[in-house]
Amino acid sequence: MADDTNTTGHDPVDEVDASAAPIDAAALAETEAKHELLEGLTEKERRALLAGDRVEALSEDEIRSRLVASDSGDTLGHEDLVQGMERELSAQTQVIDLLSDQREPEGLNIAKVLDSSVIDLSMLMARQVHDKTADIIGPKASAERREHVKDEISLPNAKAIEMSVKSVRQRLGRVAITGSSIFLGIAFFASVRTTALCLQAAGEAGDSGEAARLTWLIIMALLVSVVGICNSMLMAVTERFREIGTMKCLGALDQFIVKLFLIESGVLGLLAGVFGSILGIAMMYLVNTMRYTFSFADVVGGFGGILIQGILLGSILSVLAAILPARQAARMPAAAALRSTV
Amino acid sequence: MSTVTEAPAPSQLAENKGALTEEYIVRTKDLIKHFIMGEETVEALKGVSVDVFRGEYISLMGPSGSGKSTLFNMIGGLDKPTGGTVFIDEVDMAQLDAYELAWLRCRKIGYIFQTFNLIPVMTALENVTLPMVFAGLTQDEQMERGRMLMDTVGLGHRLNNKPGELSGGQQQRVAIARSLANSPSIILADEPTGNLDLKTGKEIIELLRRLNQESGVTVISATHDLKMVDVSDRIIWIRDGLIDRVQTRSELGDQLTEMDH
Repeated sequence: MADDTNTTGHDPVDEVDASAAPIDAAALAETEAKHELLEGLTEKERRALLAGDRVEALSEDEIRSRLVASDSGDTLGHEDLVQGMERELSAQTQVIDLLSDQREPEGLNIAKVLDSSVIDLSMLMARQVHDKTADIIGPKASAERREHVKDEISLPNAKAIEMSVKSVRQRLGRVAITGSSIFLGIAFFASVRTTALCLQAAGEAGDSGEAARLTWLIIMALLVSVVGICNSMLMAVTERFREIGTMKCLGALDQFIVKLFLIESGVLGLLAGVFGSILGIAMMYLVNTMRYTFSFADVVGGFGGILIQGILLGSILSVLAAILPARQAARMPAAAALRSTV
Repeated sequence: MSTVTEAPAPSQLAENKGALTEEYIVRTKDLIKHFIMGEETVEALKGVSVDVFRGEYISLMGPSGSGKSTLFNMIGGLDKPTGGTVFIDEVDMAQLDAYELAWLRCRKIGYIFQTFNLIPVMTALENVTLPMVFAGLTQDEQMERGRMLMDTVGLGHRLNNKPGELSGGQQQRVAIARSLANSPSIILADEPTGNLDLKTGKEIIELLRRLNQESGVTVISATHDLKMVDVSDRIIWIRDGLIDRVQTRSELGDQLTEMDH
C-alpha cells in the first residue's frame, strides 16, 4: 500500500523542503550555525532537545534557549526523552497516515511502542563482549591481562561514602543505639574538659591529682565506649549476612566490605562526636555558671577546641572499634546470600 | 583429553553467533563435595558431571538434601568442591584468585535468590546499578542502563522505591534486572519462585524465559517448582548426590502427553 502511493521515491516532507525558498547564503549559514550548536550532543540528547521538531523548523535562538534550559536543569532527562520520542512518533504516525490513508482511531499507545522498540533485548545485551573469558582470567590468560583484572573491579571512595551515609540514614534507629555508647563517652569527655575550662576562668584551679584522676576516668569511659560500639557492630554484621553475601555475589571484593563498614562507623562516630561534644559543653557550662562566676567570653574560645577534639576522638575511636567487625563482615562467604535463616 | 579449543578471531565470533550456542558455558567434572558434621562426613555430591551449552535454560531439580543446592553453589563459585572441577566459559574456577573470582561474579554471572536479596537501604534503581558501580561504569552509563533494565522488567515507574515498598514479585523483577546489570553470560537462579504465589511465580518464569530466548543468556535454575519444567530446555534431576536423569524438553513433552492420556 505504501509502495503504491510513494512511487516517486520522495517523502512528502522532502518535497515540502525542496519547494521551500531558494537556497541563499544567509539561510545556509544559519543552518550551519544551528547544526554547530547541536554538535557534541549524543543522538539521545539531540532528540530530547528537539522534542520531535526538525532542526530546520527551529530558529537559532530557540535552539540556543533550549540548550541553556537543558544546561541549567535536568531537562534532558528521561521524561523529555519520552516526550520527544512521543512527538517524533506522532509525527511519524501522521506521515504513515498520510501514506496509507488509514487513520488509527486511537493513535499509538506510547507505552506499547516503548515496550517493543526501546526495550530491544538484543540491544540490552549489546555490551556483551565476545572476548573469551579464558583470555581474561584464569591460567590461560596472559599475566598482564590477569593483572589488569584488578583495576576492573572497583568501589570509588565517593560512592562508598554515599552508600555508607545512606545506610546510616536509613538505619537511624539502630545507629542511634550503636552510637549511644560513643556519644555518651564523648559527652563525658567534653563535660570534663569544659568544667576544667570554666574552673580556670573562675580562677579555681583544681589540684593536679584531681586532673590525673579525671584523665583516667576519661580514658576508661572511652574504652568502654569502644568496646560497646564494637559489640553492637559485631551484632549488626551477623544480622546483615545476606546483604554482605549478596554484595559479594555482585562482585564486591573483601576490601569493599571493609571499606563500607569502616566508613559507616566513621560517619556514626562523627555524628556521635558532634552531638556528644555539644551536649557535654552545654551542660557543664550551664552547671558551672551556677556555681562560679566567670564571663562567657572567657571560656567560649576553648569550646571550639573541645568540639574539634570530641569530633576527632569520636570518629577515630569509632573507626578503630569497627576494624574487627568489618573484618568479620569481609570474611562472610558469598554463599551466605543463599541462607534463609541466621 | 585436551580442552584447548582453537579460538576464532573476535570478528568471526560475532558473526557466528549461531555457532556460539554450541559452546559449553558451564562444565563440571566429577564434582565431589564432603561436609564434615561433627564425627561423620556427609557426601553431598558424589561425582557429578554436567555440561551446559551457551543459551540453554536448565533446571536443576531434586528434593531437599539431594545435593542440588550444593551443585548450584559450586557452579556459582560460592563454594569450593572437595574434588573435581568446575569450568565456566572454559575457565577452571579453582585456579582463580579473589580478584578474578569477583570479576567473574560481577560480569559473567547474574545471581537471583529465593529471598530476592535486594539491599534494603537502596532504591530499586540503585540496587540495579550496584554491579555496574563495581564494574566501573560511569554515572551516566549506570543511569541509562539501569533505567533500561527496569523498563525491561516492567518497573520503569518504580525506580525510586525502596524494596520494602515493592511487592514480592516486583522485588524479584528488580533482582532480575540487577542480575542482568553487566550483561552476564549466565544467570543462576536459586528457587526464584520459592517465595512467590502461583501467578507471580509464573510471571517470573516467563520473564526469565523471555530473557533467555531474546538475549541468549544461559539460565540455570535450582528449583522444585514444576512450572519451570515447561520452559526448560533440559531438566537435570539430582538424587542422593548423583545425577538421576537428564531430560530434554521433547522427552518431557512426550511424557506429559502420555500422562494426559
